[in-house]
Amino acid sequence: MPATSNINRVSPETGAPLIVDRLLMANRAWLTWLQGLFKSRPIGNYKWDRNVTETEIIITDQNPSGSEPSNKRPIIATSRGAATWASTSMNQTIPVNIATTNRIISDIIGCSVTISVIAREGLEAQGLAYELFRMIPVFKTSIMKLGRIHAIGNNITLTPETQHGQIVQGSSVPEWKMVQLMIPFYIQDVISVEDEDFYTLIRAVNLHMGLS
Amino acid sequence: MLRISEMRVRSFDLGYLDIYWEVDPCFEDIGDYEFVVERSDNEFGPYMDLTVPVVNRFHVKDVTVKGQHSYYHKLYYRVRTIKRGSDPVESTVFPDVGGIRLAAKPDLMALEMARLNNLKLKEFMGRKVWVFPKKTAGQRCGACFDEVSQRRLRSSCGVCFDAGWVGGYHAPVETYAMIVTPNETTIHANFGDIQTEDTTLLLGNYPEIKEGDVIVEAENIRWRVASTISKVSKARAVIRQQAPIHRIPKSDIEYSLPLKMSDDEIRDLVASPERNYTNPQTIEETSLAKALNGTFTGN
Repeated sequence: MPATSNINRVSPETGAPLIVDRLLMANRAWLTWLQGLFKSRPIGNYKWDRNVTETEIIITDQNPSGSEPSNKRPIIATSRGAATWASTSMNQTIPVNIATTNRIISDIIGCSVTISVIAREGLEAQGLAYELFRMIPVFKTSIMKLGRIHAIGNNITLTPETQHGQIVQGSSVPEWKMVQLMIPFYIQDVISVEDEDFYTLIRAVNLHMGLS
Repeated sequence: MLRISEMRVRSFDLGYLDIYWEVDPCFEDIGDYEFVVERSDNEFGPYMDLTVPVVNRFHVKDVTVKGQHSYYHKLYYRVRTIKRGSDPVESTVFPDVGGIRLAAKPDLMALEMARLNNLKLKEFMGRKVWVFPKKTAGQRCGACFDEVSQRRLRSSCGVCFDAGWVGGYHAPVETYAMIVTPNETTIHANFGDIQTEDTTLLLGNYPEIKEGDVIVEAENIRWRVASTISKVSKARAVIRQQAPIHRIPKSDIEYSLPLKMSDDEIRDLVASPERNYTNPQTIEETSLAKALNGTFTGN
């Protein structure tokens, strides 16, 4: 979605105005919040640092590329769940002017983010996950603002810890334990013909398809 | 000086262990000596007094073992003699090295089989390693262990090295072992890459390893003994051991376990027999002569 829409204006706080993927934007907001939360901690108490060799906790999106050092824990990793148009309005449109064919498409996207907390000890993973669990209501407004999220659901799920050897086998001590948080959230996305160059795009695609 | 021999641990009751000892023939008055039985859950201590000083007794019953049902928790005993009224105090411990436990005494054949296997490991296929026996008893770690849930609350504990018991591990034992070269595996997990290595350790009859012990190689590669340990024994006396081992992630606190060696010892460390690095044709080579000498002096 181009950043020129009157409705989908880019929040000045995001610092990433060229991102058009609203779901990625939301995911980045979750990550930024997590990093900020652990950046403020004292040294020796899971303090996050941008420098991967200095940080006491790894906070990353899923499948980080070329991550080094390997095997460092605890890890907090986000992964976005499936996104679905919620079909909350008739034909997903907002009538603008009855005299014109212009229309604005608007709908809510239902999505979720899974925050995986991995630590050596089960209770350690559980403790970190619970802290996130109870901090989400506190920072809900900030996360929504940063990620341009319409709403964050209250029915957040905290899973039990994984079994011994479920993630990495072979060790006689737990070594890798994981607890997950599943958080539903909603994004309102708006597509307007008023967006810059959007009308030209529609015309070009229709012509390619042989439609006038 | 009084000498003690024939120390034995016996019992057919889970509630106690009998510790027996005998005094070698001597001209001294045995009544001038007190005996204190000491106990440890590690062969090399630290040993704690189990009894008050006793005189003219050669048998003690340890009733504190009641309720300890682990197959692998071993208790070692030794006897300290104290000459009464001596100043400074004349005190000696028996046996001189280590302690005795409830175990079968190896027969001559078992001793020879163990010796040959140890020789094979030391001189041909093994390398020098250090075994840190994991503590399984003693003082619980107050920094990370939750008494109510009976679980550890966090990792990287500098008090117990994530073992749950203060100190974490007993002093390391130097020995020779063969570690089979493992497959280097990278698991591409959702949250990042995990490097993992699992392999097999071949060890002689000593020290007896158990699950959780840490093995340190000369290259500071550290391994944790996994769950299923295979021990070959003759008449219940261990001859050799084989165990799966799992490489410890480098970010774990076990890498902080101190291996106390002097700078010179570290500099001159040779994990394999030195003669293996010298061409035997160069017989006049001084390093070969040194290596050959080392073969018989045990260096």
